[in-house]
Amino acid sequence: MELSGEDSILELAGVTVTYKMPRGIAKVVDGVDLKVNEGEVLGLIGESGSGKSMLASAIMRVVPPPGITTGSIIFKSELLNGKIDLLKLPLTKFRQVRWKELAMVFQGAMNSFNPTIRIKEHFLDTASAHGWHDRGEVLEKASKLLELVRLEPGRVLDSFPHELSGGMKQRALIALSLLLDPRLLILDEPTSALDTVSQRVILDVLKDIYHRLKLTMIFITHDVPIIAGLAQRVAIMYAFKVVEVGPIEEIFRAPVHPYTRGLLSTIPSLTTDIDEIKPIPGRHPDPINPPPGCRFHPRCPYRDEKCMKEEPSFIEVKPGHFVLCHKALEIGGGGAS
Amino acid sequence: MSSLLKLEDVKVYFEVKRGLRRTFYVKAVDGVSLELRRGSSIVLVGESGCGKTTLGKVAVGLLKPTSGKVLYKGKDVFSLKGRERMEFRRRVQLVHQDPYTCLNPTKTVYAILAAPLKRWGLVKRREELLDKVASLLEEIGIPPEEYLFRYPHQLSGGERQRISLIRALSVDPEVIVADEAVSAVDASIRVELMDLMLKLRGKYNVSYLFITHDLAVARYFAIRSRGFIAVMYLGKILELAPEDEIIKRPLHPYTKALLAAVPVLDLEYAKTREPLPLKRLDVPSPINLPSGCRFHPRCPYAMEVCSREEPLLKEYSKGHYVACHLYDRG
Amino acid sequence: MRTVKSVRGRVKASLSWYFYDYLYEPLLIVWKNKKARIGFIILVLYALMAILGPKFRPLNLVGNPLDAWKPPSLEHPLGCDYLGRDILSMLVNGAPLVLSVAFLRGLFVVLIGLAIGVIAGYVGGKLDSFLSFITDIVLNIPSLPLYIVLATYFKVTDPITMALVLSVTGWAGLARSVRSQVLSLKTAPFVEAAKVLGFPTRYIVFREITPNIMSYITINYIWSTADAVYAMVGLFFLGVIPFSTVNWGVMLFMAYRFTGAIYSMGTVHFMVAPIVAIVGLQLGLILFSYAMDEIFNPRIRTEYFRALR
Repeated sequence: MELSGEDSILELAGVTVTYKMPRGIAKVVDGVDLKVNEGEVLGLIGESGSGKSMLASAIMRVVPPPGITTGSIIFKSELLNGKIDLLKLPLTKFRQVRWKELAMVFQGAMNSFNPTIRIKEHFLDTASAHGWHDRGEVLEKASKLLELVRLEPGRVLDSFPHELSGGMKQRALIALSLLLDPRLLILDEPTSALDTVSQRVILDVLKDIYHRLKLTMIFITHDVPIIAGLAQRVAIMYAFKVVEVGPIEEIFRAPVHPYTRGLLSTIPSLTTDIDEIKPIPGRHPDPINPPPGCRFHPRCPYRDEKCMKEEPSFIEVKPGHFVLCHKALEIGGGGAS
Repeated sequence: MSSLLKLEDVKVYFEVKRGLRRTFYVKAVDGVSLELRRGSSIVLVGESGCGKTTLGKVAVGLLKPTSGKVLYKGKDVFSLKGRERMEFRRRVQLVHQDPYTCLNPTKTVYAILAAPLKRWGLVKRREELLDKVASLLEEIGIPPEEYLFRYPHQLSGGERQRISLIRALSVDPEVIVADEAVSAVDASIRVELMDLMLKLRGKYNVSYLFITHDLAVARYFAIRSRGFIAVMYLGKILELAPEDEIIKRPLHPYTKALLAAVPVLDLEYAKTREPLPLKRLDVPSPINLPSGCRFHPRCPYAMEVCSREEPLLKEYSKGHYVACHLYDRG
Repeated sequence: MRTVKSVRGRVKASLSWYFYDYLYEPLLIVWKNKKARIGFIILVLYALMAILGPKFRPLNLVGNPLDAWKPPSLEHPLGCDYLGRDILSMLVNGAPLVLSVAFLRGLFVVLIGLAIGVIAGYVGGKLDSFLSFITDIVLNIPSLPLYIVLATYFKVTDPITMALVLSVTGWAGLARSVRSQVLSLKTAPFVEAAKVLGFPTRYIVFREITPNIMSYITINYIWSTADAVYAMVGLFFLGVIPFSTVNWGVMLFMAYRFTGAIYSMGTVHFMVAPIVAIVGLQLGLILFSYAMDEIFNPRIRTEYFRALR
């Protein structure tokens, strides 16, 4: 579906996460198709509740029970030589891949450091859990990574987590996730609890890492401006589905999907004209009972009869730019928004 | 315009025992003077640890300052008694940051909103109470039929925040201190929430002390409320100016650094961004404040005088105050 | 049921809402939970036994020597004891004492523990240090020997005195954990919000903080009650309390110590009857407590009613 010709490191097809609740069946991720190209930074944008974090959990196979993940997640693995469906791997095999080739920095993870052990122990524990027992080597690598995230190894390795500030912990966590040289790094709201300057530092650090290590990254956030300098492509999620995906320049300058348009005009940015900032009316849908037809139709200024009955499929408005909307060509085709 | 809430050289020091003989102090707020007038609002911006939350608590009367005064309509808040104290308690309210813990999880929406109305005797009869709570919910765009008997865990973050807001407004206050009120909700809902606060401001005639760390949010609120932005750092106000003056013409080097750090939607701007104009990234500890100007160790423009003398907040141009030696004239 | 169809058209006295919230809905939850339903039925049966039993089956302490050790029959459903007295009537007449002491003791333990825990936690400072000190001491006193000593000192024939004696140490554990929960709730934003909204301290303590620990308190109450049954029966069984009436503990004492009923198949029914009564009560209490968390924890409670609506 995506940019053809480029090799994708991750291909998601029909990924769905289902929960059976007393009220009914909730599909918190509903039929997501997405390709991630090798060596790119993909920004995954959506509000809380849109399914973006759950999608990441699905990729890492840490969906909290009793959720059930279906569909296929095809990963180009070097460890296992070739493209394999992560969901169909037996868990023991998957564990080899997880953290070694595929790493994730979870939301609020800086609070998940074990408060009773020093940072260096965290590195050593992670390494030995994957069969790497040479302490000297591990610490040397850890030091290099800490320098990469602009921390002082001498000081940080011997510290306890509570001795570091929020921003420092987050950077240490990023370093930890890189310990085993993963090829794909997923970051879920890595800057959400941090203030402006720390946020900027982390983004600069991520840029650095990206260029030096040639990583592939999926950056998940609800705060759109954050990924402006980092991502090459963005995917917008709404109501548990991907509704628009494409190169960042196109989507930011001329968004097509009505939700994306609404979203970009409601984020208070420093440079946007104040009179152009307006909220999106309505509320986001219920995973058990999403609206029929196009899920966004109750809040959409362009809706018509068809939108209320038929679910749309992806329309490629420009090469590599896909929009899940019946009216994609009318709204977006032709260039100017 | 009459003065509603005035902070005069407020200092809040917390004792932290470290050594055997000396006691150390965390100087959370180190001499802040602000005045909130009727019909106007102040937006207080600063990073975490700058003391803005502590200042918010002092303004609301929850925390007694180590020195300095808090005046409500000219009277010292912490020496008020009886009826006057009650009056202050009612007229100065607070909206918290975290929507997940600002509502009692064992109470229904109805109970949460009815309680203050009962306590202040704003509604006399039980039947009226139901009506009044329902109309409060309608004001914030929440349909009463569905929500009246829900518990907080059945509400979204934005809904909880709106309830927290209308709860504060229901007692008819004159001042609301909003401590990071929009920070914990999604970026896409912030504007909606701020618009609601501003709309209700007209109806309830309330002035806001709006605390945030996000400059883009501060800009939006300050422009829309025609208020002021004050930049706070390590317990002091470094710059103060009306509306978005601070954004258009930042004076203090710290303000400039903050502006450089804010993520922006404009791609061209984002790509060509220069590195942060800061000599050091990490904020000094509030226990061990730098000498002279507290920003000097990180300031790219620091001069010799900056490490000796602390600059005072002075008016540079009409309504625009800054505390920086770079702008000392003579 | 709970949805408000037309808010303005509704006329409901607030009294009926309290009835719904505090009585009807909790009972419904108890009924829906299988374990709690059984426990509830058991407790109701015991209550009926205690209230109506003595009327229908009056105590006959004289007995008929010819009936001694008779096995269960239609006339004597649980058989007779060594004096020919009807075991069922002894059981049924002992129930009021056992039940009232148990529930009273639970009440005393909870009231004392709650009061001390909440005051220590909320007020803090020197009062807290003092109360915690006392709590720690009481926590470490071995209860059984103390009960024995107190029982010989005070006249423990009436339920209230007995319940008080048994509560002397039981409150300490509850006080400790209530205190720590209050300490953490004290700093919660919704408590701060209540302060700013102008609510007085007693409102904050009773209407804001306490509801958050209710499920813990009720479960503790039920377990304290169960404990009381053991303690009381145990004391009678050990024979350290002078008794004047027949009750389950006394029956056990008579069965085991006095007559050696346990040693023969023909007499063991005298021992088994009170044991089954005691165990049944404990079981009922514990099963019933499974519903407590569901009633008082809003997250779980609302799950029930989603299914109902």
